[in-house]
Amino acid sequence: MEKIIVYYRLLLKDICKKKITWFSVGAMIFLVLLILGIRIPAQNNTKVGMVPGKSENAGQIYELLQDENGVFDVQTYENEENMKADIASGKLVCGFCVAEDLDRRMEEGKVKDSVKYITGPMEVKGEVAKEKFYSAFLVAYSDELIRQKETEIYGTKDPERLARIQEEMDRLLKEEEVFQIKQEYVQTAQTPMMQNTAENYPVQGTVGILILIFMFLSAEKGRRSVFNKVLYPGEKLVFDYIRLLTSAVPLAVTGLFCILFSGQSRGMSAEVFWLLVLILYGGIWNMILAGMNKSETGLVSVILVRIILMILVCPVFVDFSQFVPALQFIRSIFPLGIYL
Amino acid sequence: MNVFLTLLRIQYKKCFVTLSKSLAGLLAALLLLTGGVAAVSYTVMQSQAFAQIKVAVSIPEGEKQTRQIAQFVSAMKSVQSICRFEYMDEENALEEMQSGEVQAAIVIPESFYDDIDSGVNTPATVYLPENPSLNIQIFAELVTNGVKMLQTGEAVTYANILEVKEHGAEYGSGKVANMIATCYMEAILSRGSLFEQEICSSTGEMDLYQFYFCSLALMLMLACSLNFAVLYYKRSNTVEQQLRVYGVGNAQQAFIRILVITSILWVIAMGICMITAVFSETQGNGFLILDGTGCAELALLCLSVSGFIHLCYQYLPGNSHSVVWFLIISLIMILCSGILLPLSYLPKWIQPVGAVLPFNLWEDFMGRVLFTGCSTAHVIRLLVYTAVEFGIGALAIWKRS
Repeated sequence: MEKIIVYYRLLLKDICKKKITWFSVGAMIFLVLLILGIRIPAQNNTKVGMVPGKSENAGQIYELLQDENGVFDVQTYENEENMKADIASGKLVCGFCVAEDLDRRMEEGKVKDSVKYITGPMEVKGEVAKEKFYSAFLVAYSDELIRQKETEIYGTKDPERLARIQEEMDRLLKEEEVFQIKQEYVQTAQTPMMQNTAENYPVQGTVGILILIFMFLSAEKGRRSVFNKVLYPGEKLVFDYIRLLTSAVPLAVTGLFCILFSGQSRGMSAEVFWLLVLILYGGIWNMILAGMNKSETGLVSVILVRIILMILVCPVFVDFSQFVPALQFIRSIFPLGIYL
Repeated sequence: MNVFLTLLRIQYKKCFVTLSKSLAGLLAALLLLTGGVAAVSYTVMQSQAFAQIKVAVSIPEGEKQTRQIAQFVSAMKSVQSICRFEYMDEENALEEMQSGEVQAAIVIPESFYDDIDSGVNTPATVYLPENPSLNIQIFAELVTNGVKMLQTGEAVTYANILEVKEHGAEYGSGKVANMIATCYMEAILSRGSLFEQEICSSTGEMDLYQFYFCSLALMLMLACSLNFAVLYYKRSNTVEQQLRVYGVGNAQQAFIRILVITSILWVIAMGICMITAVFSETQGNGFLILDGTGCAELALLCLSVSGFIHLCYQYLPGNSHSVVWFLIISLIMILCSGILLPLSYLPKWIQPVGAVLPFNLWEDFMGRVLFTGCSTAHVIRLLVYTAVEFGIGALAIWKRS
């Protein structure tokens, strides 16, 4: 036992002095920060952008779009570039960029291509947002439409007449003396919306993968070390295992801090417990894998396959067991599957 | 010259032997990468997916004009994209709603069209489930917007009729109503002309399938390039001196390595593209068509990739650990350069860095070569990048010598 403790201390010192260890620690922190910052658009996103510019009518349209009961949440932007960046990143469903001279175009009745509609390639909700925009535009445009028809209908132009018509129009709309629809809600036996109960653990998964790969590389190195050759077979197994556990310590400590500070922790005691399980089980797993791998040239292929397999089978970024239920059982073979 | 060609042959042999030894691993990586990329692309696609809902529409038998209007409305792009109408009577509509066969129902009353025409605003009823999903809420929003447009037109028409009755006009109230209603209907029917559409995609000019095809091809090429480390293993001093005596110095050796890597990568790239082209030809979807210019441009891409590989291995230790290091560098670059997830989904602080990484440039170039069209400016940009790679690689050779 004393030999093991001495070996552990010396090995830990040696590992902490190596550049590769600190490079791996840095890589882990970098990857966790990167993963925390990744933003895949949400399917239930209903944010819409608008660049109203200086046009008065655009301001009126924006006011009309602020509908408490509506599905879409309309936000203004100072410029088109910022809005496009948010559309490309999926923060917005779509965006409307109003021409600076919209007021003049509406007065002249030449409104073709007056609003740039910017959307993603497969975005469907944007079509409905377009209809919403146009219904608000039509209210703002009504004044001009009546003005354009005024001479034809009444023979003369009269601002007072227009004011009367506008007032009557507003009254009719406010008092709902126009066409209405009744919305009624009925109880249905529809299947409850398939709740996405699948959980994934990107931070814990990344930490786990890095720890396991580092342990594997350590196992590979140890297999070829001179120290192994001077040990008895029984001792060799124990010291190999201790070497793997020791090699995981710097990354495990860093990983624990990363998880706790990431805001995605499952609780400190739970994280410490499952990390210990990962290291203990991962040590055995890596010893077996390192024993099976005889070739140095095949080493990288093995690592690559392992990484991809772990990401696909275990709920690191996406839980594929919602599509392939058997994965729930298969993943329990893997240390990462148990850890997550 | 003989020594040069012999060395070239030996380097090719080394690569083929290493590739064949790790063939099983590469095939497994190929399958898993394909699965992984498919999974990522599915996740990205799902974020924009919208499940169409079924809407039961009940129109009384005598309402021919209303039915025509309903059919016209159902053909509109905004309606088709989110729902599909199914025509049935009111009783069946409500039954199917309750059973979940349809997600919403619109019930039009008797003499609806005549009532609206004569100014009696008989309401239509829209049935929605309690706690509607987002898709159904979007549908309800669409109905509301359509109704608002009609309401605006109606309000203006009624206001003008009142004005005509109280203050007179050139025409009678009936004709005025027709003129206003026609004006508004024209405006509503031509509402699409207000908008000038622009597509803003996270994958640039490529669509999602094209983007991930290029990503997969590049990752496969990089997976194969892990085996090229064997070309950079340190030789004994004796061998190095002998090669110099025969006129094969550092520069010639570098040239041989780059030639070997470029040619093998080009064969791999051409293999991937040809298989895909044949497959798309048999499927008839025209996904990928490869021409002579494309093959030459792919060779240029492979030259750039080999320049990067050469640069990396020049600075890495000349042993088996260099492969692990190259893998780490490649994985970090894959994550940061936006070839796995589009750059716009990555954190803002990494986007400027990712935009200048070689993987981003290769993805863009490959997409242009295969799908969106490649101009001289893009070729020159890649050539400049490649020249910089070779320059840095040459610096390493010079320092070593």
